[in-house]
Amino acid sequence: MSFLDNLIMGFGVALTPETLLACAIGVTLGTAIGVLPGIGPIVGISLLLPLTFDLSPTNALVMLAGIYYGGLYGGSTAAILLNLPGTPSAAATCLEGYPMAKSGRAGVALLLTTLASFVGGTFSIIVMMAFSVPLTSLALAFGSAEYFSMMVLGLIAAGAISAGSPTKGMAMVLLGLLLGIVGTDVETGQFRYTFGFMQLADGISLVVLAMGLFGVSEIMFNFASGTAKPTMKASDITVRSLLPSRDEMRRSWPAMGRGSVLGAAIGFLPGAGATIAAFIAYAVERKISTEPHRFGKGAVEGLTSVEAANNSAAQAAFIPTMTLGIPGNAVMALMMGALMIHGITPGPLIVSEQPQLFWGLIASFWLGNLFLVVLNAPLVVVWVRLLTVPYNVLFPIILFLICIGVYSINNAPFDIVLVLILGFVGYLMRLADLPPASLMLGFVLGPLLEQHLRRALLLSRGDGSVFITHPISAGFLLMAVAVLIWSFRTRKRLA
Amino acid sequence: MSSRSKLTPDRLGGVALTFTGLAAAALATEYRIGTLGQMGPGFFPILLGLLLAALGLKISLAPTPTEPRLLPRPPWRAMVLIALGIGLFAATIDRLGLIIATASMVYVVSYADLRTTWRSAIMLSVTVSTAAVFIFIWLLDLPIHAVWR
Repeated sequence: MSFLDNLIMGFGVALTPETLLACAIGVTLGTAIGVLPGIGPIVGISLLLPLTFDLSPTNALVMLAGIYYGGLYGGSTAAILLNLPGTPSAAATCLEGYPMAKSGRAGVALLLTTLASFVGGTFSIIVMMAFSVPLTSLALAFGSAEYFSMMVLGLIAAGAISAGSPTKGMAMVLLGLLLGIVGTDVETGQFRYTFGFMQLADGISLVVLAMGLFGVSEIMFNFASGTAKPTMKASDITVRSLLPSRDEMRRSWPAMGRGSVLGAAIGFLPGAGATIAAFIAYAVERKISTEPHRFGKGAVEGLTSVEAANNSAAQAAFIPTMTLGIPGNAVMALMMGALMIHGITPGPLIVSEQPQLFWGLIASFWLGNLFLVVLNAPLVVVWVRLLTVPYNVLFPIILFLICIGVYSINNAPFDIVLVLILGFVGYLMRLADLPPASLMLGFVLGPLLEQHLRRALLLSRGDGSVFITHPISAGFLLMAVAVLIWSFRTRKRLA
Repeated sequence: MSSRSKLTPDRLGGVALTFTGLAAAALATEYRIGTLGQMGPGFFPILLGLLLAALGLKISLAPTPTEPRLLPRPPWRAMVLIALGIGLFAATIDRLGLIIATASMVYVVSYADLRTTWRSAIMLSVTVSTAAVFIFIWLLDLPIHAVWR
């Protein structure tokens, strides 16, 4: 089937009324979630995951993906208007976006953000369409040794790059891998770490883990920092003078191009993601600028490049998740969990066996980005209003949504208690500066990693050299070692 | 007092991870370990546990930065009330139904914020439980009882 046929089929799926509706609901909810501090895309997707059980797998995934990139968009809105990054990647948006807003250019910043996100997203979607098929055929040649080594690379990258300290990141990956073991061993039926609780026989639910570590702990942490999130004033924000000047446009276009390419390249790597892409894009803009003194005071290219990069990376991250079954970050891990709940195993076969789902999802990305442009530009005022909800009203509602969301998965009160315990664990992890996102990735990949390790060694009759004698596997491991050395050395230099 | 012996959050975290790793490895010795070619269910967890213990040790022994972050005072009031509220929800949802579980949970956790008055707590708890019934039972048709059975 040709590229064009796939494209047409994809749009055929994405343009059906139900899918279109799922996409629209997803991006709108996502934007709201992104604007509100305290519920990031991980908590948002976990909250809404149980509600997609009745949808078809395609619609469910389209909606959840919409929440993700809609969330990035909403995060930028809050970052520009109030210097509050609603999502981690929006922290880079604050750097130039907020100074622009302070100097009365908020409308311009928001419009350019929307435009840059659209450009970045579109670029990355084209890359996805072109590369997922060749990548899939490569992945079909993978054996257990290759899969194992690739996951090792992904986990090391996630642990070493994303966090402040590589040692802490790696420790969290290991803790996640251990938590992933809880439950019944698939090969022998042995219960592991269940402590006599039958409720743990199927393992810890991904949603419970995500809501505990990210949702409950965030609320506790907000009380700890004593701020309990101040009430926002929306009155002084007006969206006037939306149109950017000629000079601003001239600076923006090439920056968007650079951001898009960087984002797609970084998002594709396992373990990296939108946040890293955004910060690297910002650093690059600053480095190549002929007038670096403008940065930090509302340099428009620093904003558009960052926005193009984070959106481009967000979309590109779907490639390894869908075609290899290897999620690159915590949000993708949740996406993969959602797919599996719907009875679909992500992996190289997904493109040939579920072409409707795969191409439909990709086409929906583009439509979703279009929705964001059309729907959200006029809705900015509404999103800002959302920020005026006082925290003492917001946090009980979030806690209630966590409780009901967790309960609705298995109708098990046990899971609610578990989410509370994990909330305390997450709070302690935050105190010690241990990154929960690395833990999530380890948790999702743990069972797969063990399975492929066992299988590879079974086939080689216990000969550990298979991982080095297979060239692709050896290549992955070599890269993993390089990442590890590089991260510890740059860390040393910074310290 | 030398800077090495200061009790920083980092150091405590490292110690906790070391213990977790050792405990995980110790528990996993109960499972069959097997050989490299025929791995039992104990092999992988023991390996992970020991690696985690090693990294935990490395974190706990790292030299303290010149300006160590201090342990913030834990928000006891909020933590206790949140735990109590969530616990109430878990204890009541099966038998007493969604309305009572939601209302009591929202009421209790509301007091975690010092600005909450009894009036605002009741208002919020009534609003959220009404909306909960409407959204989760009528609209989404989740298999949850609204009241006791």
